[in-house]
Amino acid sequence: MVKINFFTLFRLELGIKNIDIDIDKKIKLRDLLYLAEDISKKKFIHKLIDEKDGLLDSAIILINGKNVHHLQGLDTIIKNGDEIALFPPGGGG
Amino acid sequence: MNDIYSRNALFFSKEEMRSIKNAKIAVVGVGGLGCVVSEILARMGVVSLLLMDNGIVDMPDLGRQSLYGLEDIGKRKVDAAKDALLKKVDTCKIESVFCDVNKNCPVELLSQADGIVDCLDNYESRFALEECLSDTQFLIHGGVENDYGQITTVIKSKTQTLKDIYPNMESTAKEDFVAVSTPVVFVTASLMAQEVIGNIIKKPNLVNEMLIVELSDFSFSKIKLN
Repeated sequence: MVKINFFTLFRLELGIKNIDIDIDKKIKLRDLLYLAEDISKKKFIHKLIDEKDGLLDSAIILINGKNVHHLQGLDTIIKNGDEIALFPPGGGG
Repeated sequence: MNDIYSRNALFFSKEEMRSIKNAKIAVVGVGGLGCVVSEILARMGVVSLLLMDNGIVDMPDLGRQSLYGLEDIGKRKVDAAKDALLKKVDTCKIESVFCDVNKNCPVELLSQADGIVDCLDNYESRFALEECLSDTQFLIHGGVENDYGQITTVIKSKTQTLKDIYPNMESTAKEDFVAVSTPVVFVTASLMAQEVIGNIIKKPNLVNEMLIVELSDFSFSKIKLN
């Protein structure tokens, strides 16, 4: 099972805290996110990925506590047991 | 047992109170977060505080920046904050430096601090501040927006840096006006002060963990950082 945790604006706008997804084989992050959209019936990918399939700058995707920018981005392979955190961090002080 | 710190002294050990007293802490950014953080630290007995900011007190600041009042409009924040703190607690020594972390950061002064508190309002400055951090100094990072905030401890020899956690944030446009609610500023800043004290007494909670504070549902979530 893979756990996707939504925080801050995502949680507020989607009205859900997390989604657990059972995957029978490893899949890429991009495919997992689309799967999560299908399952949750909530649109959120446009806040993470631009039209050119690039990661948007405003939100953070952590896989097991590591930013996907240091992994393979949207092509990062996700396996059972992985935990994903999605949030736009606060910038003010 | 009637001094300013006596109630805290009933809770913390003598050794911990000594560590708190002897700690040198730099609060960088004396806006919403920095006002509350520096007030808590001063009231708890941190004697040596360094305040850094390049801002001037403006009317909208009064909505959430607890050390300022109407009479401070137009003053340098670092000066108004120092005056306000010394009126509350006259035992602390406060050095105030009017400066922009990106342009004329007093690296020498920062290097003397045991810990630095990131109360800045943009990521470009946060990354510049992090550059000044030694391998062993602790940096308490906080950020707020709308009604949520996040906090973590950065120690270069032990944790990810802000650049590791937020590699894509530097390029984001610097917003002049960030939407923020007053309660989340006070809550997040109070927790940052708690983490400063935690680091001083060697009991930090957010080393390799990020705390997300959400007032919309009163939730506190910890994310493990690797």
